[in-house]
Amino acid sequence: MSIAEKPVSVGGCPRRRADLRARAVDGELVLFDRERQLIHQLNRTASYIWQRCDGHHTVAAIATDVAQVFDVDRAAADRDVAHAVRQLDAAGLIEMPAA
Amino acid sequence: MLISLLRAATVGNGLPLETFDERAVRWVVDTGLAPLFVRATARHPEAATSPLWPLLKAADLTARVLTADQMDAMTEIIDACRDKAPPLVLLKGISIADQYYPAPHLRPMRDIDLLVERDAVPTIEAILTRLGYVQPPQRSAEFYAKHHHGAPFVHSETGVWVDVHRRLVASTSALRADTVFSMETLRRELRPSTFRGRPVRRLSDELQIVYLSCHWAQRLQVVGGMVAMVDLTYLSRNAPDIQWPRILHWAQDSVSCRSLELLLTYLSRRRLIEVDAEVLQRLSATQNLLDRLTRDLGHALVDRYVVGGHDFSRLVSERTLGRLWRTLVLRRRPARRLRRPRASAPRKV
Repeated sequence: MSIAEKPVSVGGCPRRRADLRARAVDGELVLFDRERQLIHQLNRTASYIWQRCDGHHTVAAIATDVAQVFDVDRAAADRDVAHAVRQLDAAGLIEMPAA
Repeated sequence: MLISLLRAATVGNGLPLETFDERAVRWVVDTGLAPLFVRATARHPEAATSPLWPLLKAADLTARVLTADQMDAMTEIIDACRDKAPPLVLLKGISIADQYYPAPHLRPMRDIDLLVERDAVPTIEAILTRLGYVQPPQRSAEFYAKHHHGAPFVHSETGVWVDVHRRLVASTSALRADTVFSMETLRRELRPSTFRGRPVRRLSDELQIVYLSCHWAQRLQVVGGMVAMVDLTYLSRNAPDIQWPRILHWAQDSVSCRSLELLLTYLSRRRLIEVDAEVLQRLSATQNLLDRLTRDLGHALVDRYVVGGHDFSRLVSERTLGRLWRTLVLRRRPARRLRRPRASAPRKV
């Protein structure tokens, strides 16, 4: 199953990994995964989404926020947040709650 | 080739990335100088299209994150030590990256090196423990009793390492006998300074030059050996007024003279630093013919393995290089008394 096909529960509350080192570089978030020795650079939207992944906000709630903050329509926000959450999960930057 | 990179990076000129082959770029990344490389090549519009760019960019971003953690850790330690101990003395990377580099992340740092008066060591170590640092078991207590710093501390969350130094060189080091490394000189050469607006102390530029040179030469590192070279390059370019006569005075009859001469002549020959010719001549005047030959051999070894990153062979392994360096380049004979070079009589041609 590709990342794009992986289902995302809109009611789930993803949580960003607490052990990642995060720094803003030139307006974008850079995450250093010390355990795997990997560096990730997130664009502005992905940075926002990752920061909202606090284990309390659902994917649907994050999409609502994204629609407001980035002034996009709700359907596009749902699609983009689901895609970003899948990618962040695949990169090991967030932990998804067990289904 | 990498010398031209160092020259370009430290004077701020741009270089096209395609000038360097993949092996050279990978060597730069291995040695921790990728951020300098990015700085030197980023202005060229084609840089980002190179297949090697992601590798460099990743190393640059990693350095930015790790250095920011180290700088924040340093700030937290200074704040925690305030009013509990004399201002901390910053050594090596944490000092020079903050003081003389255009941006701290350009200087790779494995750890934060602090120098603390012997009486204050237990206080500082207790503060580090309170801040969440631990000392993973590494070497024996007997080893650290003779060493110039105690067992390293590491923070479990940030991964930042801290070495608390009691002196500049180990009690077993031949350098210990040099006046420049005596406690008296050290106390005289501490300068009040600030780190992010907080009071700290640093070594004087002159002592810093001797210390960096000796540290580099005593433990020549193939990977990372270029860092001290960049340190001295930035220091000599940006320090306001280096008092070379003081350095020459310390070098007299010293073990450190050889390390100093070795590194300064190398950097000067490669046009990375500008040192008054008389200073180099006076340092070189302490060396006999064999010394000069071994110095040139030392420079060739640095070119090939430290700067060039050449692979080791069955004939020369990293171990044999280390042995060769110690026996030939670092023979422990104190330098002869420094002499002023005699002006040679004009010759008819």
